[in-house]
Amino acid sequence: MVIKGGPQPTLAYTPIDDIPRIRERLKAGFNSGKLRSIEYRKNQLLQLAHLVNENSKRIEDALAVDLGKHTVETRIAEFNGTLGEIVEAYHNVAKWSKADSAPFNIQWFPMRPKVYKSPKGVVLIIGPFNASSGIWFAMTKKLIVSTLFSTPSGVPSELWPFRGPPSDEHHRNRQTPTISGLITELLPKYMDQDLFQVINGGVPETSKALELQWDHIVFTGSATVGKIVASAAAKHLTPVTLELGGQNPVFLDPSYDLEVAARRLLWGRFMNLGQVCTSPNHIFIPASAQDRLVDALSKAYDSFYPEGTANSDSLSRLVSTGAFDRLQGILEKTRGTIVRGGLAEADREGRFFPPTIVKDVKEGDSLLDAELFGPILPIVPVKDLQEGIDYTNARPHPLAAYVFSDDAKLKKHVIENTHSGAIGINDVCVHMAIPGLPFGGVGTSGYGAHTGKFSFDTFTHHRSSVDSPAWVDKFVGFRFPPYTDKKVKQARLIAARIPAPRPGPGIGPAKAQKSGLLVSAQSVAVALGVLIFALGLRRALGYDGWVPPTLVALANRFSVSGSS
Amino acid sequence: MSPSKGTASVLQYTPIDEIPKIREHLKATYNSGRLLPLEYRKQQLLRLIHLVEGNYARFEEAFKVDLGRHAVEVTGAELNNTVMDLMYLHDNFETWAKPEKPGFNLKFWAFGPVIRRVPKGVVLVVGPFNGGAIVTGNACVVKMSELTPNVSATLTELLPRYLDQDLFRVVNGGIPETTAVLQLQWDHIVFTGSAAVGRIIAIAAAKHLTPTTLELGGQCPVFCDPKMDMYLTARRLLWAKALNAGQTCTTVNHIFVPYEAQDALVEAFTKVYKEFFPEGPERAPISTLVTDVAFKRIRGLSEKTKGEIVCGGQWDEGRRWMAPTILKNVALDDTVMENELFGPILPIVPVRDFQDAIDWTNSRSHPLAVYAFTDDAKFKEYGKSNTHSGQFVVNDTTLQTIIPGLPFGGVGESGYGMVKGRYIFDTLSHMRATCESPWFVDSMVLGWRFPPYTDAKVKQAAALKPRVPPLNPSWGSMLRSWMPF
Repeated sequence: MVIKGGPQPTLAYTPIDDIPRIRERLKAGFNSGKLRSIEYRKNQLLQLAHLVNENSKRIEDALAVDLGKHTVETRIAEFNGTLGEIVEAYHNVAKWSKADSAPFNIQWFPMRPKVYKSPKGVVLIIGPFNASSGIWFAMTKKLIVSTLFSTPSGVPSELWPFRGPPSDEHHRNRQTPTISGLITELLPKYMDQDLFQVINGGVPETSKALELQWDHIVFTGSATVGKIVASAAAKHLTPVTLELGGQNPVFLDPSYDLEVAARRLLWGRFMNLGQVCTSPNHIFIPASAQDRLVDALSKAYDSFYPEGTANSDSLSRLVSTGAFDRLQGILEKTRGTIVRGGLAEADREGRFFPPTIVKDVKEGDSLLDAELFGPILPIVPVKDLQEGIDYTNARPHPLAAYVFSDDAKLKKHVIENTHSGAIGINDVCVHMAIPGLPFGGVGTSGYGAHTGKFSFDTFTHHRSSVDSPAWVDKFVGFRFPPYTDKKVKQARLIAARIPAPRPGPGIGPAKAQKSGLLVSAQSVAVALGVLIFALGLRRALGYDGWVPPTLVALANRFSVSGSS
Repeated sequence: MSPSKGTASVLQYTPIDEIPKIREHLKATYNSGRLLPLEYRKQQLLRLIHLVEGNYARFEEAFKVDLGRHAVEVTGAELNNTVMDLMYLHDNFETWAKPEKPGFNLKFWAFGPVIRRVPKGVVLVVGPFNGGAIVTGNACVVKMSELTPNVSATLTELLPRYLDQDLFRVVNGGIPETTAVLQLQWDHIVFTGSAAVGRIIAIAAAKHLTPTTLELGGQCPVFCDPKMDMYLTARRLLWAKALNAGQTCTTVNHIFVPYEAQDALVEAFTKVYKEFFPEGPERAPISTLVTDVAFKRIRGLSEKTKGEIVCGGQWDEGRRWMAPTILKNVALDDTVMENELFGPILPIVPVRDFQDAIDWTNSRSHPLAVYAFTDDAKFKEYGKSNTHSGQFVVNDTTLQTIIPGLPFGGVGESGYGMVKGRYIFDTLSHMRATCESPWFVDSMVLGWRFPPYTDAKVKQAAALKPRVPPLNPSWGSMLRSWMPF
C-alpha cells in the first residue's frame, strides 16, 4: 500500500478551558439572529459545499493517509454523499423553513392554527471521523446541513472508548488525525466562526463538552458511549439523536441469483475494510445451498482482487492496531472453516487485515458475539430462514437487515417479522445513499433520524401557534365561569360523534351509534359559511337586489368581530 | 364544593414483583404480532373512545372527589378533548400508517425507496394515557398519577373491561413502584410532569438507550399590548388561571404590561372577577390544590410576595383551597417570579418596555408557551421572533393543546418531542427505510462500485457528483443549472 499525498496538517487538541468559551461564542452568535435569514443560511451551505469541492484532492489524500482509502470509495462515500446532502439542503431550506398550517378543520380554522419552524439553538455533533470519516456540520439554528462527509460512516467498536473528540459541531476521531486536522484548518476559511466551530480531543475534551448545556446532541458511535452521551444530555434535558451500530444480518434465499448476491455482499462487507456501520455482519442461508454460495463468493473474491488482497490498492486499512488485535482474537477463536483470507497475509503494523470468508459458523461462535466492524464475513448455515429470523429477533435490533430474494412472499415475511433501523432488499448499504430516505436505528442501534428533511426536522422545534379572534367566545363562551347546569349541557353537546365498537376480541359494552350531534353542528357551520361568503360576494359584485333581511342580520351578527 | 373526604381512595398499588412480569407479558404479545393489523388497532382505539365517552359521569365524579373540579371543566377541558384527540387518530391513522414514497429522484427511482412506519415495541407512558400507542401498534404500560387517586382508580378499573389486557396495562404506585418501572427496558417513554422528575426519567432511559418524549412545564408569560381590549384579555386570562386552579401546564404564569396600562388591566380583572364569581370565590366551584405540599407552597408564596393583591387572596387550609389571586406591581425579582407557579396566583408585572420583559424571559429557561394579547401584526411578529417557547399563541391561552393537527411539545427546559395526532404517531413509530435493487443496476448504473478500482472507475464515480451552485452566479451558470444533465 503506497501512502499518497503530500504534507498534511497535524491535529492539535482544543484546550479544555476553551470549550466553554466556544459554546458561549456560538450561543451569542445564535442569539444575534444572524442565521434567521434564509439567504445567510444558503450562503453558509454553499460555502460548505465549496469547502468540499475545492479541496477534494487534499481530502482524498488525507483519507489515503489515515485509512488507505481508494479514491473510488472516497468519491462514493465522501464527496457524492456529502455534496448531495448539502445541495439538497441548499435548494430546499427555504421551503422546509416555511410555517405549516394545520389540516383544515371546520371547528378550529378560525383560530388560524399554524406550526412555525424554530431553530433549537446550539447543537453539538459528536461524529466519527473514523473509519470512513463522517463529518457532520449541523448548523446552529434552523439551518441544518447535516453533512455527512461519507455516506457510510463507520461505527466504532467497543474497543475505542471515544469515537472522537467533540467539536461543538463536530467531534472527530483522534484515530483519523489527518482528516480531522484538515477540516479544522479549512472550516474557519469557509464558514462563519461565530456559528460553526470544531473541537478536537480525546476523552477529557469530550467529557468537558458533555458537561455543558446544548440544545441538541447528535452522536454517532458505539452503544456503550451512546449511553454515556445520553446520560450526560439527560442532566440538561437535552434531546439526543444516537446513531449506533449492530450486527446486520443477511437473509439469503438460495433461489436468488447467488453470483449477483455474492458481488454485492463482498462489496458491502469489504468496503472501507468492513468499517461501515451498515455493512452486512453475517449471512443466513439454508445449509443445502452453503457450498453454492461459497463458490459464488470465491469467484467474486478472485474478480475483485485479481493480484491478491495484499497487493490490491482497492482495500483500505484498519483504523488502528487495536482494531487489528481485536479482529485477530475473534478470528483465532472461531470454530468455523476459513474459506478465503485468513491471518497468513495479515500485517499488524500496516493495519492490514485480509478480507476473510468463514463458513459453517454456528450460534455461539466468537464471530457472532458482537458487531464485527472489520473484513470478516461469516456464513451461518440454517435449517430454514425462519431459524435466522428467530435468532435475530432474540437479540438487540440491528441498524440494517438485508434480504436477497425474488419471492415476494418471502420478502414480505422478512420485512414484517424483523426489527431493524432499515431494511435493504437485494442489495446492501445503498439505502444510505438514496435521497429522501431517513437514516436511523431502532432499539440498541440508536434513535432519531437524519439526512435531508429528516435532519432539518431533528434540529427544528415545531412551534404550534394559534391566533384566536374575539368572536370565538360567542361559540365557546360556556368555558367561562360561573358554571351552570346549562353550561354542562353545552359542554357535553360538543363531544365528537363516535362510531359503534367493532366486533372482535376483548370485552366491552356494545353500544348503539350515537346520534350525530356534531353533524348538525357542522352543517350549521357550513351553511353559515356559505351565507357569509354569498353576502361577501354580493357586496364585491355590487349586487343590490333583495336579500331576506333576517339573513343579513344573522350574517352581520357573526361576521362582526372585535367588540364584545 | 369541598371534596368528599369520606370516600376512601380505592387505588391499589401494583405489587413491585408484578411489574417485570407485566412487561414480559406485553412483550410476548407484542412479538406475536397481534397489533400489526390496522383493523385490530382501530377496534382497540374505538373501545378506548367508548371507555371515555360511556363514563363521563364517573370521571366527572372522580375529578370532583380528587380536585373539587366542576363538571363543566372536566367535560369541556378534559373528556371532550380526549375524545376529540382519539377521534382524530381514529379517522386518520390508517393514512399515516401507509408506506411513504420519497419524492421522485432520477438517479434512484429504480431502487423503489419506501419508508415504513413500524411500531417500536412496548411503550411506557408516565402520565395521562393517550391513544398514540394503540394506533402505532405498540403495546403500552401506563403509570398513572398517585396524586389523583380516584381518577387513577377509575381508569384502572375500566381499562381491563374495554382494552386487550395482553397489550395495554395500568401500573399504580408511588416512588418505589415508579423506580421499579424505570429500571426496566422500554422501547419508548412518554413522560408528562415536572422538569425535576423529567431528568430522572431521562437518565433512567439513557441506561437502556430508550428514546424519550418529555412534556414539562415552564413560566408561560403573557405580553399584553396596552392597546388591546382589556376586558377580552382579562376574561380569557382569568379563565385560564381559574381552570383547575392554575394546575395546568400551559396556564398563564405572569403578565407583562406597560406601566401606563396596568390600571386599565386591573380594572378589567376586577370587573371580570365579579362576573365569574358573583357570590365570591369561596362559593364558586373552583378546584382545590392537589396536595398539602402544593397548598403550603402557594400559600407561602402569597404571603411572601411584595405585590399588591387586587382580587382574591382568600384561602381554606382544610380543603387545600385558595381563591384565584391577582397581584399587581410585582417586580421581576419577586418570590412569585422564581419558579413556575402551577397554582391560582396571577402576578401582573409592569414593565417600562417590552424589550426588558423579553430579555428577562430569554435569560431564563424556555417556557412551554408564550402568549401575546394584541391586535397589532407587528407586535405579534416581534413577540414570535424574539422568544423561544414550545408554542406561541395570540389572544388566547391553553387552546393550542386541543386543536387537532397541531403538535404539542416543549423546547429546552419545557421538554422535547411532540405528542398529539400525526406527531404522536411519528414519535412512537420507527421510520424504517427500505429499497430494493433490481438486477440491472450493477451493469448499468453502479457497476463501477466493485473492485478492482481503476482510473476509469474514478471517472465514473466523479461523473455522478452533484452539481454545486456557484458562489457568484453568472448568466452562464444559471443557464447551466436549468439543464437536466
